[in-house]
Amino acid sequence: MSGTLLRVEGLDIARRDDPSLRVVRHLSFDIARGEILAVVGESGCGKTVTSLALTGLLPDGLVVGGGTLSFDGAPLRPVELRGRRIGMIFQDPMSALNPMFTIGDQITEMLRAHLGLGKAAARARAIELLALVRLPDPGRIIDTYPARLSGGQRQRVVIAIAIACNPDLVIADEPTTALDPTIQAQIMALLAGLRETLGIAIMLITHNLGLVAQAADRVMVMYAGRKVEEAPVEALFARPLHPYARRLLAATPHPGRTQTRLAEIPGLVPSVFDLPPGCPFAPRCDVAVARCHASEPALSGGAGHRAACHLA
Amino acid sequence: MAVLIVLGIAVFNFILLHLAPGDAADALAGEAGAGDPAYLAILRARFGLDQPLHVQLWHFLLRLVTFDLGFSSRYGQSVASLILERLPATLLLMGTSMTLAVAGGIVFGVTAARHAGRLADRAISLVVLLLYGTPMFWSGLMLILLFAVRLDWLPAGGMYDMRVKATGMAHVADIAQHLILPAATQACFFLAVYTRLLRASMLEVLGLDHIRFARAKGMGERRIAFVHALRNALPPLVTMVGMNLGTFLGGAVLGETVFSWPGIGRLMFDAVFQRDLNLLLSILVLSSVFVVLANLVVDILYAVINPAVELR
Amino acid sequence: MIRHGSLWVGGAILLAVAGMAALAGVIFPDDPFAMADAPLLWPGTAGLPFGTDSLGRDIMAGLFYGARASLLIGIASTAAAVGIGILVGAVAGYYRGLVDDALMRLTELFQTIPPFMLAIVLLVVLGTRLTTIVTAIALVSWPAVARLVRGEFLALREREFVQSCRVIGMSDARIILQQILPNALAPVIVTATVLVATAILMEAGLSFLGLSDPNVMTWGAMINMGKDQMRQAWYIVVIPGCALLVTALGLNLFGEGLNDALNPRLRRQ
Repeated sequence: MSGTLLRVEGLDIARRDDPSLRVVRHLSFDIARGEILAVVGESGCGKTVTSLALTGLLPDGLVVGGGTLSFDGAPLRPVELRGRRIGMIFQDPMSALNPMFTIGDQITEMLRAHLGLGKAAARARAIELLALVRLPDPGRIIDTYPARLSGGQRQRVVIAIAIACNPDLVIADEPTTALDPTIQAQIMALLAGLRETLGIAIMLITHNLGLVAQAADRVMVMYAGRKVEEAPVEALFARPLHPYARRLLAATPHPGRTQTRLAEIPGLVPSVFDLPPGCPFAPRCDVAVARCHASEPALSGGAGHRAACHLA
Repeated sequence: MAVLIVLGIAVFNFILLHLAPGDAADALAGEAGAGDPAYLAILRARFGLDQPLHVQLWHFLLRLVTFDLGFSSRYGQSVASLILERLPATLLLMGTSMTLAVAGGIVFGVTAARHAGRLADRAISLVVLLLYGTPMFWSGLMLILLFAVRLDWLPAGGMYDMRVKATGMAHVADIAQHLILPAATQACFFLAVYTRLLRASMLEVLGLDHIRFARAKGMGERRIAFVHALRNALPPLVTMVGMNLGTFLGGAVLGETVFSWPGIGRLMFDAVFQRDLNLLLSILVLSSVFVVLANLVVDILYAVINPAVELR
Repeated sequence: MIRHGSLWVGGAILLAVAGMAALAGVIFPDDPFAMADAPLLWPGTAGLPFGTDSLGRDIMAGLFYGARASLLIGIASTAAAVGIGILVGAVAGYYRGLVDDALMRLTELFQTIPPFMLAIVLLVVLGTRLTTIVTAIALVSWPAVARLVRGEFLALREREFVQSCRVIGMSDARIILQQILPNALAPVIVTATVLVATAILMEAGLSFLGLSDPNVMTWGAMINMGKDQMRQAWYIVVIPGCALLVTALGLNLFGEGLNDALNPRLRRQ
């Protein structure tokens, strides 16, 4: 359970037609073996794009413009690793599975391609995986088509596919957002359990801080393509340093506490192609001072807990 | 429904028969002037042309149901046996050219979609555009001009060499040689249609979530295109192929005439040439039945390729 | 950019063909069926750029008169098909219910008969004159238009501006013609362009089978007459075929360009 698994240093993701337009700017972070790192922020902050860059799945218009990525001590080669050592879980289980193939086909094709299993062995392993993600009656489900399954069941299948080849890392991009609240908790419990039993590290992308509190070890807060705060999960919830993180926390319903009005964050995330001078959050920040509008703060703080704010 | 349509077509044919100059006896006897009065009188009596119209219609339908399509004086043979005799040649040509067209359409359509906007796509699109505008009979003549007249590689027409009575494998090879040019001619046109159709539906499918998920699973690009995406892009192609199979007999008139291929199309051309209306209408009814059958086959195929559709 | 290119290239080709059709009688005042010179003269000889056919007719003149016939038949039959298609489709889509059912059964019936075959039979029954050829092609082409128009009407009749017309008591005919039809026209125009190409190719096929008006020079008929001399004089077949190809290409390009220009949904891609 120790040692760095994924190291990202100075990652830039830019438009293919104009490399000066960057959607992710100089992003650095680590994930240790068996660790759950939550990446939070509103949509448009660069969370998903970062995960796509790690797996070589960036859309046509975007490219990695710079930075070093390494995985398990060697340079990261997304096309070789994905499916084998890096699994992915997408937001919408309804559209992630191919409607034309059975659940079994979609699991076994991977096992056969990556692990070289024979037909019978792949099928046996697929049934095992379906049981592992706690789907009822895996021997029957393996021969059904996705249309027959509920959203929660499909997300379990997607998770089974993500962990099929015993990966070291699973990137889960909003794995519960499309699901009912009761199912959400079950899926998160399943992911946390898989980390315990299989030692898989998870990069959990979400805007739901409730989930983060429940499952994550560390949190990275992103805003407008940058990392603005990074902390162990208890530290962040106890003492958020960045005003944006404070606002995110204020906007999160707390279990147990009676629901008062959630504090909405006024304004929108600025377009990453049209950033204001200085701190990108300054226009929405209620404690901003003149300096915030003039220069962009660098990341500072102790080893475990750092933030990019002049006032932190 | 299918029965109703065939019935409708039969009635429609009956109307056409009565629109023709002269009465049905003239038409049945071939060109109006050819039948001598005594023969016409016999025909009139046989088909009850002195009776009221609705009785005639009833008799017409009865004959259709019993596949009694009348007698062709030109060929000295019943129309039904004449058609049955010519059917295998047409089916052979149809099977070969449609197989070629579908296979080519899949390869070119998928390739164009995978490289959309790039050189391969543009080259394929240009060829498709040219093939689209080329009248089938003319491209057949051009192939004859090149491969039969200029290069003398292949026979210009017919289904087998009349001079040598080949048997066994030599006979098969002989027919295959004669089949190449007419099959290629018909295939080219449909290939253009299918390439265009498949390119469009592949482009749509390649943008879907489950294709990205398949990439995240670590599947190879070729497998993703030809297995994952193709299966999803296939339904419109199946519909189109079904329609083309149904109306194939119509187009076959031109192709078979150009290559003197002894099938239904060529028979129809002869019927046109000799103004043998009864033979023409019989072929028209037959090909309409063909269309209805093709629609049924498409429905079944749909259920085979798409698990979400269930046969009632 | 490329897309708009196809509109211009297609338009230019169509303009050229239309020019040929218009000028046929001016440049070649003689009957295109008349003997112009010795038979089977190769292109370029005796001052005839495209030579003569087996009966000594000027192929260049045939080409010009053929353009006239092709465009005339293509446009007239498409106009008729669009007329029938709009009538059937508009009534079916606007009134729905039983009327729709009946009209769609009829449309289905026509779609079940292979179009080229039906055209052949119609011409054998009706005889081959310019008018019957136009009629036959129109009769086999209208179902596609009818389906398209019906679909547009079904969607548009529920829109607010149509509903409000009904509320103020506007007559059905006025709603159909003045309110809905103009909004449904863009896809119909695109389809019509492609239908003209189909009609021209169909007419050529019919002519090739000998089903053409014997008094009208068409490209298909020229190919039909030349096919037996292909060994000695292949140019007789190649030249009108190229004319057909270029014309159909022009129409398809033009249709594609129009589609992109008129259809904002596709333009965004």
